[in-house]
Amino acid sequence: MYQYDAIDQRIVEERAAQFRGQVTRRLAGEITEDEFKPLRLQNGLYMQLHAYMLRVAIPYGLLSSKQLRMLARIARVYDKGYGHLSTRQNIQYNWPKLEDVPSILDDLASVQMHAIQTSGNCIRNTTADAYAGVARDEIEDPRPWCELIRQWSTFHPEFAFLPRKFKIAVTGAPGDDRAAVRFHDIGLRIVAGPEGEHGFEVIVGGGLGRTPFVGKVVRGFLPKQYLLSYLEAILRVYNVHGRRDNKYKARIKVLVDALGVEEFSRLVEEEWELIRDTSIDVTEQELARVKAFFIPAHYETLPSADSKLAAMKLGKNRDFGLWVGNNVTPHKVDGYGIVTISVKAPGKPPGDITDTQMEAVADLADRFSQSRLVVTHMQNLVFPDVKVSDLESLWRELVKLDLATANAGKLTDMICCPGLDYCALANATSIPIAEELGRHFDDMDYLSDIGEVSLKMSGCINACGHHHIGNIGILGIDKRGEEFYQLMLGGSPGNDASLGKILGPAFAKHEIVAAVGRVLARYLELRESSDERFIDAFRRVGAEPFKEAAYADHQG
Amino acid sequence: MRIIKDRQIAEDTWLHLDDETALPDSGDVTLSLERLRRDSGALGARKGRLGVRLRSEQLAADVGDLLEHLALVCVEFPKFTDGRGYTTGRLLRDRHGYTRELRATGHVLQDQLYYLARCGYNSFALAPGKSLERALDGFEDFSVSYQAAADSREPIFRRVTR
Amino acid sequence: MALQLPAVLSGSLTLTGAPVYLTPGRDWTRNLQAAQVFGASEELEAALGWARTQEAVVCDPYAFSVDAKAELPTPISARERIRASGPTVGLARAS
Repeated sequence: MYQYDAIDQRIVEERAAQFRGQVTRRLAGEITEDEFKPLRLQNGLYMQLHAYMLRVAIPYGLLSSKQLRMLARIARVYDKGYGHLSTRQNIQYNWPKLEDVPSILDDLASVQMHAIQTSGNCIRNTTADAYAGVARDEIEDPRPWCELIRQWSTFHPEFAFLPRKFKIAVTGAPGDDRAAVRFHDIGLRIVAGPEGEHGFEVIVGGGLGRTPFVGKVVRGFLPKQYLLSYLEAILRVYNVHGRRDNKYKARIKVLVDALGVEEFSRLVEEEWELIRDTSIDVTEQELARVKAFFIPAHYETLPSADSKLAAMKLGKNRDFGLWVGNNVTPHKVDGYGIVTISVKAPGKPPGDITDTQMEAVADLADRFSQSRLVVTHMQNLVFPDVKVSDLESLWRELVKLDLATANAGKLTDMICCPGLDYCALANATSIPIAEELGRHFDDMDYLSDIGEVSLKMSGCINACGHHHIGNIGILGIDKRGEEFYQLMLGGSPGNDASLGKILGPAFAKHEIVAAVGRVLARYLELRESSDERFIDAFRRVGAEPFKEAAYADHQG
Repeated sequence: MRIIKDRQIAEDTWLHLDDETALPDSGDVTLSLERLRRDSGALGARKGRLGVRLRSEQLAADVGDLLEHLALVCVEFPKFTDGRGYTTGRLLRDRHGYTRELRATGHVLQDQLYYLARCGYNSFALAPGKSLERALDGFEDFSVSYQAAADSREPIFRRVTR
Repeated sequence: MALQLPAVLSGSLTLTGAPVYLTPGRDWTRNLQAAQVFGASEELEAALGWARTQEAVVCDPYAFSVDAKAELPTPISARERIRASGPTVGLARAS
């Protein structure tokens, strides 16, 4: 955990006070709704279909148990008793009242949290690999860098009114991108340079939405001390040159595409040359301070538990074994495991978590994971530091909370946006489809047989549910007042980044789940072995066999 | 018209001329950048100071060569969500060394003043109907900032021991 | 795209964001059934103009189409049906 110092604390408190004043002025009629809107958005407050929605920042997804208890309290006192984990590792509340929001911000500030820049055309919450700090394949923990980016971007006076929103993601695991860095406005990969020293590969212009792009490498290796000046150069080029005449063409991906990556890089490098050795960049001392402000985990010296884990998977408690197999990832420290707590119970809205669940999870984090946890961009929770010897006790507790579904990385571990049940922009519902998929595919043996496959679903082309980068993507559309669903296949968020392609005509609401079922059945028929993942089989044989299967019983 | 200048309410003493109206022989005037270049020959002879009005798409570099003759640069914010003027302000101050009055005009509101001041603006013509007295509070929203900008050239970690 | 008439005028309460509908008495109601159905565009435009002056109470007024054949105001779009009746899925708390 990064611990606030007095300066960090003062800033979030002053922000809450500022917003209280803005709400007062709005309610007194001193500012118009048009003037208030950008102000509330920069505090994460949207107007949705049924109510306001408040998005609270969870920087790089990291939470303490104390903070989670406060999130539970906010859900209970100011909302309807639940929150929704978002793909930006944040939490959203669906029912706050405008006049309560300043008090919510005060409560958040009391536990070193805020809703700053969780919406609006500004630099949003920086996301990171959910396994940051504990992954075996990581070469450097990206979170101190994320925190430096958070501080640099918080109320950056030059970049508060960009052409459009701006998202940054960082990973320190070059071998396995779990942060979808190629689908961000800026993606940063910590990589080893020619002398073995670490730096950043800087990827710009990725994104989803109505015009999806895989980001392009603007600089293969940036010595890491230059991170902030390089970001400032990119943002400055974007702020000046990004389109402001059409919000659908205002993201940096459109600028990079229009200029070409060579010309865009040239502009950035030219700007960077002028500012690189000014005072923007972090000092060794400050980097050390930020690193030191992350409370380190304390690990006991334990023997390797890899064989013990293998035995658990095959043990006589099958449910526990499945859960260990799917939801526990090897830890960099012997004797520990990284636990994914699935917030994707069958038949429930993906990523929704109640106040009582949050409080119970906070207690479990105190008992089993050094009082800390991570919200993942997959809309799950992670306990990063669980002793392998504690796994069974933890699992038994999670079962009681309906949080022990053994589906991490499996079909029903879906990403799903709130869709038309909540969202003012959506064209179709997505949660009911997710619930139906969860109920339809609730046989763990079948899910295990299918193996690793990602399903991502959005209720409109804005793509909050990342449908372009699901191995299976579902996009809700509106046809004359009725909900229809396009099926796309072949997307992938990681190092093998690719965008899915639409298979054919959209399916009616009652047809889509069965169509997914036929696609999966076809995969099982045509795969070369159980080691060939869905995405590999798709890449080998192409869309045609799946298309044939999907539309076999299609009513048109 | 009243403006905010150096964090105080003041009367705007400048005449903001359009591109057609004849140039008065004396007094302080602002012109569009286009007119400033067009009429540059006639400007030296008159008494009074000169200023320029930049539209949001006109950047610091577009006016860089003229700055030494100017006592006021106005940057227009057609909508307060058009943030190009923030970069213009910073570059005028940091890169081009402009030290005289820098004024934000157009859709300028209380809640932008803190950001604008950090980007080097010291003068503000607020949107019509907005209380200037009230707007002065906007400078005080935050007592500390993380980044380097035109107001404090060093980020927080170089300013104080954290 | 021109709005198809008949239509109902709606907005969101400034205090809570809840959807409300304009009644024949120029009042706002949470109950879609009590909304005024506009058959003429001049009338609707006038009401929209008035609604835009009410932002202390109601934000972002707009009109949506309703079924001409239905007796009570019945939205044509799924969006407005869901907006009127609430999320189609159970809230996490209730389960």
